[in-house]
Amino acid sequence: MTPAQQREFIYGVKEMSHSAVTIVTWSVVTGIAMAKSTLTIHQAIAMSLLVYAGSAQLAALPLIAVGAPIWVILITSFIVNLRFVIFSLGLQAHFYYLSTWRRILLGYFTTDFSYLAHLKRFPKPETKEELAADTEHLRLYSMIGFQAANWLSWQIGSITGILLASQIPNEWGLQFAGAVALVVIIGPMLDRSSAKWAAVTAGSVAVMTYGIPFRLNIILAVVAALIVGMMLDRSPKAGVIP
Amino acid sequence: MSADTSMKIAFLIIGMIIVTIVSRSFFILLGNRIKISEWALETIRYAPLAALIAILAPEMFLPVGASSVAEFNLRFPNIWGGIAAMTAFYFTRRMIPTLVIGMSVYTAARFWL
Repeated sequence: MTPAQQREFIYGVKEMSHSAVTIVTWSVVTGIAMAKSTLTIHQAIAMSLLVYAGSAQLAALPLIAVGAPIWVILITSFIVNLRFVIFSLGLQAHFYYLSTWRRILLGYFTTDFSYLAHLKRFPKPETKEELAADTEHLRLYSMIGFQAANWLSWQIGSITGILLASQIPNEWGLQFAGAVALVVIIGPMLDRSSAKWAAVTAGSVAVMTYGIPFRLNIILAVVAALIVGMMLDRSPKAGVIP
Repeated sequence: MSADTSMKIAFLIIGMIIVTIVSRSFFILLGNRIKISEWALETIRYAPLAALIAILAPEMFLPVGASSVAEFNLRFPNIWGGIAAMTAFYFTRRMIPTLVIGMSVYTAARFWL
């Protein structure tokens, strides 16, 4: 890494560490859920380290417990992960110039948190001229920093949860603490009326359609929120609604 | 655990790794064979926000293991803890007070409701 790339990487790690409380809480909860499921400790650790998709893992556990066929579990985890397919559109616009392997790795490590952090810093992809001037690909290095800190804090929490599951009582309400910690991440994003209405839409649809097969409620909520956000941003009055 | 089941879990984990890779690198895999329009990028702007909320909202408004929205009821402590946390965040904009107030109200609601 050149000094400039190193600076960007460190920036990314620092920035992501602000979300560490939220990430660790969710990952401990996921780890505990895996340890208390039918998986052995080795299987749980392998799943955590390699699958690296908390919401898909949590959706898979009850299906594994009832002995659902593999294809049902895989389809469910793909549908839970459909939001990442949408994110990958944004990633493509930002990082299409990388080699195939780097694109696959970049995709694999892009979670909700790292995608969010990258878009917050760089809402728009580089223009051709900017890209030509940016020979060190600095935008890639802050992204790698986000991803590294995200991966590490997730794995520390998840493996702690797996190993200490029997010592952590349910009464702590850790799962709810994860939800509260997410409020702090979401809050600052509601800076415009269109964002607020998109958020209300996503929340209502996700709750109303909860329990439909294959966890389709997540992607339905995302699509509904995108439609509402798009319609509001087009109407000239959008900025007036509180 | 029988050898048969652990084989099944091994296949499942491999399958889920492939699902993670395919879903997360879906469009970026295409490299510069496609060009994403500015309109598409504008449209997906709220996708990460909506995804986090879609994961959060059922945790806050439905009991653990609920099978549908029919199980919504106001005796569920998460709702009150959630409202308290959102209010605390609105006024303080900080992690610690939000967590403390949200968790206190949640714990109190669990005892009294």
